[in-house]
Amino acid sequence: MAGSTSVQPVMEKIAEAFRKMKPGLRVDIEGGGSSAGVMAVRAKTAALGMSSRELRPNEPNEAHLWRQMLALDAIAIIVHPENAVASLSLAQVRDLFSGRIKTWKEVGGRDRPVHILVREEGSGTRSAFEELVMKDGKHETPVDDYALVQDSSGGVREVVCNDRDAIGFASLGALNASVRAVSVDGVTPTFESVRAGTYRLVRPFYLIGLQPPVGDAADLTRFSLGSEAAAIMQKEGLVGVFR
Amino acid sequence: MDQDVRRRNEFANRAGIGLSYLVTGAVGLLLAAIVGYLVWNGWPRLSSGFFLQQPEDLGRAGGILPVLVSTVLLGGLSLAISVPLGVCTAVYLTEYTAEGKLTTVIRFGAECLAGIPSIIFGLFGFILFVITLGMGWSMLAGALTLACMVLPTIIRTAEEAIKSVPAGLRDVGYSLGATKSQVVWHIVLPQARPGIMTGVILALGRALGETACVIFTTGISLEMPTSLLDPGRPMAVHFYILAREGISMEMAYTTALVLVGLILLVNVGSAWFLAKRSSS
Amino acid sequence: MSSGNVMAADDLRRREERIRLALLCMAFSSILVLAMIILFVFREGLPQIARVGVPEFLGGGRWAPTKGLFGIFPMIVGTVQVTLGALVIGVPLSLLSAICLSEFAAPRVRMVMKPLIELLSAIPSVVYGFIGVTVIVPLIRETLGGSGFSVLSAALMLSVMILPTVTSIAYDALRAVPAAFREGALALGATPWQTVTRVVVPAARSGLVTAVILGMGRAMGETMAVIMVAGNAVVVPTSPLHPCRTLTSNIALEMAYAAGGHQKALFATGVVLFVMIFCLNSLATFIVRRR
Repeated sequence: MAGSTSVQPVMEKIAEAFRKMKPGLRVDIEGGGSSAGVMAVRAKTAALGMSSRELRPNEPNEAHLWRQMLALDAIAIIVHPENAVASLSLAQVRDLFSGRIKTWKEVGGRDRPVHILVREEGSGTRSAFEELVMKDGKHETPVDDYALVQDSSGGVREVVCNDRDAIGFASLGALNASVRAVSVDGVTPTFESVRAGTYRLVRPFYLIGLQPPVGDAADLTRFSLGSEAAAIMQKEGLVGVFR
Repeated sequence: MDQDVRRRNEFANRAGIGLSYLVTGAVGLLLAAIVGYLVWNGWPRLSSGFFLQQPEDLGRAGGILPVLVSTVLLGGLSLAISVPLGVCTAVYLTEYTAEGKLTTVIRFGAECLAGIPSIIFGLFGFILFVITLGMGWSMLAGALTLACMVLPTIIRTAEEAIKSVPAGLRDVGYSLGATKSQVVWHIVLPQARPGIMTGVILALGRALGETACVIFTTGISLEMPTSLLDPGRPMAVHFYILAREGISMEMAYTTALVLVGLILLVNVGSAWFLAKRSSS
Repeated sequence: MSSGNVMAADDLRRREERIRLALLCMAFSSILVLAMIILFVFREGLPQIARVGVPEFLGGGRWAPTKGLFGIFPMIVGTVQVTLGALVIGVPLSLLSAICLSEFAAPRVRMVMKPLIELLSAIPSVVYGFIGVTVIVPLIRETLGGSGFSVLSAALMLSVMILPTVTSIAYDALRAVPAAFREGALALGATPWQTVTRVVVPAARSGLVTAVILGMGRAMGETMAVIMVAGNAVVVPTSPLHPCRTLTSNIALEMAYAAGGHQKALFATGVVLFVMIFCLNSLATFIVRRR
């Protein structure tokens, strides 16, 4: 398997459980990114791909692929645990990331400059973030040029947990106690609020393939959609499609 | 006046030498601090289990067995490809041809190759081995890419080593009726072995510490590689992922310590081996 | 009997010829690899440069491939700034240590320091990067302000990374200067420091230049460690405390998720990097030849 680094960690855990059921079976999980997943599937270097974004229908490489929704993932806006700001409106989040709000004081925090952290161009999390946060109706505000760029959710979290003035975004599954997710428009991202649909910064995770999977890949797909996998995903903060 | 100049010179002399000592001392301390930092942070988790267990929970717990195997496989395989090529190139350049256009071109090629950043080797290996030749992310694709990367190091050091073999030894061989290939194989190469080994060790160190081009060609799978076409995750990449994604700092430090220790062991081991050989 | 001998000699000659040919083929391996790298990387990258337009690609200030903006000017500036910064800090330190070890230090000090410095080049670059993030970045954030991820952090870290390379090559160049040069200068009444700065260093100049250029190549080509400390924002840094992105980091950061024209643009970044390094190496070769 290959693809999105956001899906990869939870898939590794699902695979660990899957291997216990089928000892001796190899499941190689590669990161690489959503697009690498598409490429790997097309080049047949991977039986299944993982994608953290919608397939792009106008990209000839991505049309006509088989896909199966695996889970819903929330994008959390994260800050250092000592940051006094616990709640932001969606518009404030947008202004913070576009660089219009320059100090934490303007949103009720300390009088310190804001250090913005984003994912790199092309990342599934980044495009979902731009779609869900930066876009207001038809108009999309660009992210501040001076925003620091990291190439994984874990990387963003590591910087945020070491810098009291930082703000970033990451997959809910990638969070731990070292950072705090702020509530957006009054809703905190949790498993429940995602399932209830009240937390709005949500995107799908997909499994993709050239054709519907067969053999071991099909078994793994079925396992990933089952109740055991859903329990693993819940532990990681994801809402599996199994209800 | 004259006295003044002399005093000034004397002062500049003291100051210059003092400064150079100061800088050297600072550099030495800095280097010792880096190694000490790794040992201090990595030592507590080091145990036999760390080498022999499967990683669990993305590498937060357990050991690094498959990572260790990937590292050894990748390093060994890349040397198995690059050393014969590099040594043969060096033999051809020094023994079989006079300095001319051809040697200039080959040397220029090797020099250019030596200057290319590893990330470009990564792009190249990805597009040629992984995609075009269909090897996928694999030990083989990674080893081929690394072999291309370390080839110039091996050529250069092997060339120096062969050049330093005294011409008289070759003449002895020829006077006994040996052919050129026999002279090269039985006289020149054994004499040049220590120098060639130095280059091989240098190349191995570079291959083991490489991250950028390995991620694109070998992948990051944590499974144990069982064939050359399996992907894997060598130590430098494992360290990078553990540290950067904040999976586990303790495990990251320990992996780094093992990696640096391994490279050190290879260095010291080969030096000891060569010393023992030359004395016997 | 004698005809048999002739046959054997003939066989032998043919075998030798075959060996020679085989070696010749292998000798072309490095040229072949170089040609393939140029072929494959350029084939992916050049069409994209042509599509975007050379002035727009090299001079464009905005990089947002998913929105069709492909300007790498900020990264070229970032690469140059970080590399020069590393040289400004690292080269004097390296040269002074090389001078100290080669000219002044007692043999015992040299015996300890030389391997220690070489050992440092065996430490993987990601380890330096990690130390950069855990030590240099917070230090700069606390003392000088900003986020800490900056041109300065990257330059500081790279200056340490190039120390071993530059020091050991410079050391070898200094040792290669004949002892007679030093004796002559000292006999004329020069102080040891004057001997070093006016006689030994000028005599070793071409070797020292090579050392600096190799260090420069290493700094320019470094990828993972720079990603970890430079902050990777696509801006033309106007202060050493601003974040920046280098050409190498651009490739490694975005390669994972890039598709289509975006991926081709990363290969195009590789082409620009290749050309820059190639010019640098040619310059080095030229300098060494001229001496």
